[in-house]
Amino acid sequence: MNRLFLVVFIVAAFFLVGARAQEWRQIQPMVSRCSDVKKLFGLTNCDRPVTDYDSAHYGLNITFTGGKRSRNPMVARVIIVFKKWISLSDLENDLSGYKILPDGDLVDSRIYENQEKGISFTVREFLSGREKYVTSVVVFPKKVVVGRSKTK
Amino acid sequence: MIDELRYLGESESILVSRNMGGTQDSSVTVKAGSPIYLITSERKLPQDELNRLKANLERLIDDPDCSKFIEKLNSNLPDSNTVQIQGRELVSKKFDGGLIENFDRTRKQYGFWIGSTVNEAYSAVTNLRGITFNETKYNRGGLHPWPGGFHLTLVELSGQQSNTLTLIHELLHMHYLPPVGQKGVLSVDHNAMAIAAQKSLVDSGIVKSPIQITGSSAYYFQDALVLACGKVRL
Repeated sequence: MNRLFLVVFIVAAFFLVGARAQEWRQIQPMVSRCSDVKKLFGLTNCDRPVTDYDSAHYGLNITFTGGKRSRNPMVARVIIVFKKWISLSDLENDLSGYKILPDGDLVDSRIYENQEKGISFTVREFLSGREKYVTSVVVFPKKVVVGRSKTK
Repeated sequence: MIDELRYLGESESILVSRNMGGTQDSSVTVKAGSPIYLITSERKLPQDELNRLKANLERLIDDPDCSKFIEKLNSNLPDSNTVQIQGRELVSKKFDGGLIENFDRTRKQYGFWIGSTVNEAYSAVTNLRGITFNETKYNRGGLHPWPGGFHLTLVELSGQQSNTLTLIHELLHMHYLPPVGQKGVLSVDHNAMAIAAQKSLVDSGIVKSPIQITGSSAYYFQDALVLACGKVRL
């Protein structure tokens, strides 16, 4: 019985840590507000125009819209910098729709950007590109595609 | 002997090369009819240029505003960069010296290079061999003003200023120690550098409130550097 409890505890802890490592995914630019950010990360207030938050897994930099007097401002953009780089396949399975761009002066780094999803990954390549790790993510407002019908 | 490669496709294309300044693949965007690159081998930056860069770096660090900003930047950069590849954890811890010590270490362990094989869009690149300057931009004095970022610093820089700020940018990518058993460092990325610059502008009293990161993090970082150190005439 005790052994079963231990296994359940370990599995639950594993999923809890995994979920906490990706809680940033719940913030959506131009949808999420200061109140959502406070609730998600247990903050008492949102510094404006920028709130920084440091978790065990990543550093977060959230830019808000509106002036300092706005009561419940909206999230405009989020930057997530990982403390331990994460495999690209763990963050994104479907890379269709992503543009792969050079990352300026860092020779072994690429930007994977999807305007329609409003996300870009900074990806460091190892072993001649066979292993790809995400060093940081930028979440920005999704680009609305005009004239594309969802149904045929 | 071939001394120039030219792209003959009809539209813009991205080419991937394994010989552009490092052991990793590198890509370059080329337009129809344009030279891909001139076949000129990279060479070590001449000693007199190295001495001049170091003297310029020392002059920038002598400036109180620039010095305070660089000091805060150093403390705001991530303490380490970590990745687990094929079950092995690699950790690059932050270098504990200042920029001058980092310059000396980079010269000794890696090297400063110059060549025309760096993508024309960039003033320099950081790779496993060290830092390679773009010869054309180096001789012309890099880009001024920077074409992106938050546009607070649309100032004309001299060639010496521009090259020295580019040097600081690249040195900070490399401001980490190699993981055990490795040669190159896991260099810090542009988003981490931009966030560190945003905090450091406030921490050093250059601005009262954070300036939002809106465009490219690489340009944001460079703009912050110009704002803090661009007034020093070199």
